[in-house]
Amino acid sequence: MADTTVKLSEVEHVKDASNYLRGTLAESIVTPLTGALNPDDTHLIKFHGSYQQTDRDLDSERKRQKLEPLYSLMIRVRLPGGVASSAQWERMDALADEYGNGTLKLTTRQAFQLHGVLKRNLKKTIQGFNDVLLDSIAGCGDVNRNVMFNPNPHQSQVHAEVYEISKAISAHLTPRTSAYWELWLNGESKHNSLLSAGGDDEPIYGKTYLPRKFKIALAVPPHNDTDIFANDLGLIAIEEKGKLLGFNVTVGGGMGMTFGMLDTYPRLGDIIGYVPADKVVDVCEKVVTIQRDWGNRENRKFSRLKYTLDRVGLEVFKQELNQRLGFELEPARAYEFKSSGDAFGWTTGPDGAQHLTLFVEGGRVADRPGQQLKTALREIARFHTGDFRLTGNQNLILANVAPEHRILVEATLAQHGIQVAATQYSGLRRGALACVALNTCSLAFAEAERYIPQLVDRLDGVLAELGLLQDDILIRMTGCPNGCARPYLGEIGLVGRAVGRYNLYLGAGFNGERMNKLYKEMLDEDGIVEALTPLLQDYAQKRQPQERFGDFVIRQGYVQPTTHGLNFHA
Amino acid sequence: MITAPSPILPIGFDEATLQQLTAGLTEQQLLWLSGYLYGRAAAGQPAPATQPGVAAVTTALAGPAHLTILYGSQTGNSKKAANITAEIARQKGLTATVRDMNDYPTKDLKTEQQLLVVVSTQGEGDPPIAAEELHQFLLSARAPKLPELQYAVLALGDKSYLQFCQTGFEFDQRLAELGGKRLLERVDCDVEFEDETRKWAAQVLEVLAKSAPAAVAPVPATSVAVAAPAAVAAALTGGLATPAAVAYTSRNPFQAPLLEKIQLNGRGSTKETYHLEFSLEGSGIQYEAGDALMVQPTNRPALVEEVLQAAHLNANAPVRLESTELDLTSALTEHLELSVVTRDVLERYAALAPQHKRLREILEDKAQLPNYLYGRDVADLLTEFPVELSGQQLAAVLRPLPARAYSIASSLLAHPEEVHLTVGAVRYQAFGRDKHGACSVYQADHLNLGDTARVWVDRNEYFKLPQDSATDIIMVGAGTGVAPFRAFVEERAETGAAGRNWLVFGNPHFTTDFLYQTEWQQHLKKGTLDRLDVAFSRDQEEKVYIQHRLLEQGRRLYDQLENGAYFYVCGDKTRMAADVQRALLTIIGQESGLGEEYAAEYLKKLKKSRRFLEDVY
Repeated sequence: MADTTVKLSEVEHVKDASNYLRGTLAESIVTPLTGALNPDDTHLIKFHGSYQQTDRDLDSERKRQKLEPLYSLMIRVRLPGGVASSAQWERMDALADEYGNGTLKLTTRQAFQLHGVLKRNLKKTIQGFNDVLLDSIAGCGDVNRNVMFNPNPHQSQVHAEVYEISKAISAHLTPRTSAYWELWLNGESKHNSLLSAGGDDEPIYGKTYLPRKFKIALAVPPHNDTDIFANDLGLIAIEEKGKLLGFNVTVGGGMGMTFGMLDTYPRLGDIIGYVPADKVVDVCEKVVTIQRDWGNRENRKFSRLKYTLDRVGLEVFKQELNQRLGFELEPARAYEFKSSGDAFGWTTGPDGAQHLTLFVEGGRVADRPGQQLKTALREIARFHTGDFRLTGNQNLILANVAPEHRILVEATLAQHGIQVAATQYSGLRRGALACVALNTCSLAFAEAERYIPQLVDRLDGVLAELGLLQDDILIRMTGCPNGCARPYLGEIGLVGRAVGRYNLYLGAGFNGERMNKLYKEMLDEDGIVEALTPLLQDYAQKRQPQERFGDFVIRQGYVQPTTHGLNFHA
Repeated sequence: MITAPSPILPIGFDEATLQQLTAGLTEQQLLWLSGYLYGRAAAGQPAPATQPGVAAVTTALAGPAHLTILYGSQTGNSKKAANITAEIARQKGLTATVRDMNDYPTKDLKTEQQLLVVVSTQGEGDPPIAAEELHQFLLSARAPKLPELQYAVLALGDKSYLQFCQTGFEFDQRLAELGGKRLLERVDCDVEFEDETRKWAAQVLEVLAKSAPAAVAPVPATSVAVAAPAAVAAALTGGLATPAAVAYTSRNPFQAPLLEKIQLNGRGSTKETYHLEFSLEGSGIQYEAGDALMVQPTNRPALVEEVLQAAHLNANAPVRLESTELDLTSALTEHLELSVVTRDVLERYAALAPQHKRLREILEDKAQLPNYLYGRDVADLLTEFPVELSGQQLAAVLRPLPARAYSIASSLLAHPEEVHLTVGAVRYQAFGRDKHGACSVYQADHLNLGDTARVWVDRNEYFKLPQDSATDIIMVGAGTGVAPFRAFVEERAETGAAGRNWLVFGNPHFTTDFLYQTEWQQHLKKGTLDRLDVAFSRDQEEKVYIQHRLLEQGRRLYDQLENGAYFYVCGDKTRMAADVQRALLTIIGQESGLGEEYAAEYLKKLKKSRRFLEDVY
């Protein structure tokens, strides 16, 4: 498929010249006259887990003050399966205070994000991660990102096995370059399991890595809480009598699109077959290498695997995969997803272990008046002998709480104003997802995380009148169409077009298996409430038993169902 | 109109004749001539017939005595006073030689016959660097007897310092000891020295004019004679000055509209620094990079109110200042200093309040006096030592509200008809009350866009760019000390100067206190700034200051100095400037490999040759 006449995108040249992700980063990070990196290095820093951002609230004010924008770095800590120890939690909490903006963001991909880290503190921050065996390599960039899996510990033994597999995939697809250790850790690492032997050879990626980011998620049905189909590669665990057999494989999911370009679209992954558990890492590697070789390196808007697939066709792709594997995928097995959200409160595992799923609004662990979540969790981390698990819905599980600690956990939360079961919140709020957007994301056209609580307040008023307050309805908001909070899988999807203006999408499936459809454009807050109110009234009156809001709006004909990325815009 | 005879000119001396006489003169020559004629009129007597026209200002006539005006200047004020004196001498038909102590051979002293000394005092009673050598010589045993000498001393200083006019005092004393004959009692001038200078010069020159009429003497070829009014001289030396340029002074300030006011510190900063842009449109005001702008503040209404209350005085009480009648509120707001208490104010106040013995004690304990005065304002004084006094008495106790000088932060070439300032707002708590820097907070809080401020230019004689544009410059400034360097770099960018520009800047925090950051970045990009080193003291655990950056760049710094670079320091006098000087000595000692003594000598030479220049406050 190689086309020798292609005109490579700028980023491809930067990667090629970067000497395995070094570029001029060593110089960039010490230049004292600007808080920014050299322009080329802003592409490379992503591979190290960081985005250069500015405080957009202050951009124009600072320009007038003859100050450059307030540059800082967002840094994302990779956490396969979202599992962190108490010691790791405590460290992240402390680093957020010391170098970040005092908050921890739990992302929609089960990673930690620190925001507002100044360039001069970046190295110290990464060293802080390393001290507790965390790293940020491949947190962003054109590589495989954090491997998602929600190891709901209370579910089954299968979860433990799948978790081990997700870690193995993550380790296998981690870049081998020693640039990360060289630049941030003075060539040393306590994290030996990931430290390369010292060479820069990238047997999987090659020196220009992938054409674009690559995302992998695993799930154990009936929970699709990692939104399998939104990923380039999804693995659906197939079990029999409590034993893991293998996985159905999905390829070609991805949320991003560009407004005004109808040939860009969000797309859900296609199931292409089944693979036994012992061969799944190999499947991941081969899918990655096909995308490495076939993906578009000219125009980054068409670089994701989903466009490669729709360009060559699913069959051609499968044939190539089988050929590279040296064996054929088996036909997909039956499975059923029922939901993509989290269930809050205490649960007990088959082994009697106690787990608490906490609602974290917007995934933001912060201290707010009356709700000192960050402090509460820090105090819990001091005695908690289990672990902390980040969910793909930006929530948090305190897993394996020792029986003698259960009361102490509850007391600590209560003391800081955190309610265990989150029942004081509406179903809409509990399921809400939002990306960071303004003020730090450079791509955002509109608010998301900072604004969605206020919008939900208003919608809660409508829901309360209709008796729908405790119904789970998935609302997702992003500040741009690139899809970080997977808005096209929201029963109510809101995508920012301009400050205070959103496109409204409706009709996604509750279990993450159907995308939504554009309903109305450029709505302000009143417009959103006015558009949704009659639909919710209708839903309250005419829904069938167990019928989800996303299904209802399709049955009632408010929107047509989206059956494939290619008809998302239809 | 042109040909119509003027009724006030003699017959035959009409405009046409004037045209004829002045045909072919340049604009600058015409300007000089106007000054010359004005000077003659002011002197009230015709010039000697031998007085030449434009160029020659000194004439070699036989005569027994020659008059030298010798100045020792740090900031240029003594030089200014010397030039004023020379001009008045010229008006009286006397020819004087104006000489700088900086390059005055000590051996010339014993040949002097009539000597007028103008010298300032620095810091705690020290002579200016330019005067150090002569001062030392004069006070030493090697000083010659001067029985033939007639002399007078004008001392410049600042009354808020304890050793007010100490150097002038020492010159005066010592010249007498050496046998000199005092022509006039020494006069000590406070910050506002120009009026005093004129009075002193008129008196002493009157004495001379009577004792030795039209005494003129050959002038050594090396000396500089100045006889033209300062502004006209500026015009002759190639400046663009117009007569209007000298019209704006403390007595006649220009009302400059404020065009722009920007808080330069980002959110969360502990600093509060303003960039102000004033319009000079229509004023004809000219300045050079390195000059200062005088800004005449008014006192805060809240402070005036506090003073009135503390003094138990009626806001409308009538007072007389000089010859003007006005109400007490206006006097306190516009004319009298309230925000600080100086020694002289305390003395006058103590004289009104003999019942407060404590006041006497404070005044007598000279060591503790500065500590007492620090942070106190007039309201504090009135509250602590209550006295029954009238509005008139209060007005007589207080000092005139002085204008403050701000180093100009702009180049006229880059910003025609504008002047920019960098002003740090001074606010603090002391003795239980909020205190505000009179002029900084006047600009920060009370001056709004479109308002006018009373301003005039204060020429800084020495803090100037090198004459040779190919000379490198090293600019070291912390905080608002960066102001003149913005002017320097703009000026050198506009003129395409070939010399390298190196700035070393310091402030507490990178993200909020990097004054003019984006402008420096642009200059670096364009090459109009060659190097920028920054020290943000509070961004890391160990404090990093400007001097640390200098020490890091010791080799580069020394090489540039060896290459003839000028070294400028601007900002805080007490700590920053001293630290920078120490660092410089260390660098010179180390990099030369010749040690401390050599470094001290090296720095002294830099100072004498005016390549080490300070604008500190």
